[in-house]
Amino acid sequence: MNLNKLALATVIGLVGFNAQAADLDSDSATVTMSVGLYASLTGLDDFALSTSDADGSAGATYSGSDTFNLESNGQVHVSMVGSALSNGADTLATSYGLDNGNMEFDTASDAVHNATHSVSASAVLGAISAQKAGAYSSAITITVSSI
Amino acid sequence: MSILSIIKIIIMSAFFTTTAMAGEFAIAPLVINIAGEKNTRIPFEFTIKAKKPGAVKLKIFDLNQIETGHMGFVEGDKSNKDSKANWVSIKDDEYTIKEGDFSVATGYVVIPSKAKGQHLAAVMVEELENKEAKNGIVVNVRYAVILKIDTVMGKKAKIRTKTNFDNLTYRKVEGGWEFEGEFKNESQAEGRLFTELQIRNQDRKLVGRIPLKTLSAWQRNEIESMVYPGSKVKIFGKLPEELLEGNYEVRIKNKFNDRNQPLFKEGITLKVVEETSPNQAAVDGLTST
Repeated sequence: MNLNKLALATVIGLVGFNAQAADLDSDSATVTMSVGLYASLTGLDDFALSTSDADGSAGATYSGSDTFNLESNGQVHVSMVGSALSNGADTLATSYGLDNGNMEFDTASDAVHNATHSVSASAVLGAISAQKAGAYSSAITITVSSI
Repeated sequence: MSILSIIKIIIMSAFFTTTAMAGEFAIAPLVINIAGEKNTRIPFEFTIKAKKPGAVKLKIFDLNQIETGHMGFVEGDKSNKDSKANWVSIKDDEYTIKEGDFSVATGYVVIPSKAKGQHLAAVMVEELENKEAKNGIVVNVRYAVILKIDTVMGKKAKIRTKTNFDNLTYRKVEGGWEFEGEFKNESQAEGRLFTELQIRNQDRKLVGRIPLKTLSAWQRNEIESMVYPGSKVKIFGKLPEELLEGNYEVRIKNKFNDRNQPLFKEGITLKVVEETSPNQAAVDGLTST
């Protein structure tokens, strides 16, 4: 009887030991990682406007554009502001656009992005004497943000 | 040719062959969440990688949400007590980085003791280049690193939600009717807005329901519109049904951060006056893939 009890106690002890050993040998943990929103806009340079009309003629339209690559690992918002082309005190009504002519766009939500986009500008002359001849310039600022 | 002449030629060549190459950069992360004790320095950092060599300048900007739901950026002004330029400091405001190399920009935020709610600020990373075009368009690219500053430290439940919907307008557009209204977030926390417009005829029968969203949310193809503290946005949507002219009742159900807001009800009379929707033109084709 005592031997039976001893054998039973031994078995229980071994099982318990094995269970504890198993607890020591393995564990679980949740591994998490957070990747920040990343964006890069490349390939964009200053550009000049040209016309297919007679240079300097009334109503001549000047236009120009450049392309850039936008790469991001999430949704970003791209917006643009620009000033009128000017030459001293003379200014020209100038319009700008990104891609399809709008001043901003969002990349697709919950998705990476790596694509070519365009920026364009155009200006129309008034009457011949409405603006003096010479070099006109302006600046645009493109902002990349998350919201 | 003397050695002096050769040196002169080399120096002159250097002057004429040096091109003003624009730097190109990548920034990460573009959003940083800031939370911590008031009146203590809460540090932050982000990485500026140069794809082409160049220098950048960092400036603190304030943000204001415009009616379209998009964010406007205004350079911070320390003389304005409401400017986040008084909260945010950056260690170095200029970095010159070699091609393929990167710099880690660091700074800190000090939340004033009386500050409440959630706030936004931005560190604008702009190429530092003296650009003066004599002919044509000068292009500047900048990146806004958004700092989302939470002054409540996990006590969001105590922030009272207060919103207001007003100024419902409607117009006949091609293929249906467009509805628009103004939603103001008068609480101190940002929120996700889900708005549904229901329209019932004189027999109280539901004849249509549509979501109303900001232009930003439509462009982003998001179900909800983000509305920041104190901001007023325009939300709109098109009911693609040719409803007959007549009297109807419009109900606007707003859920802000999943909480029902007061129901807006208004009796309206639909009458056809052909108009072009400025909203639809803005939505169409704007989302870039």
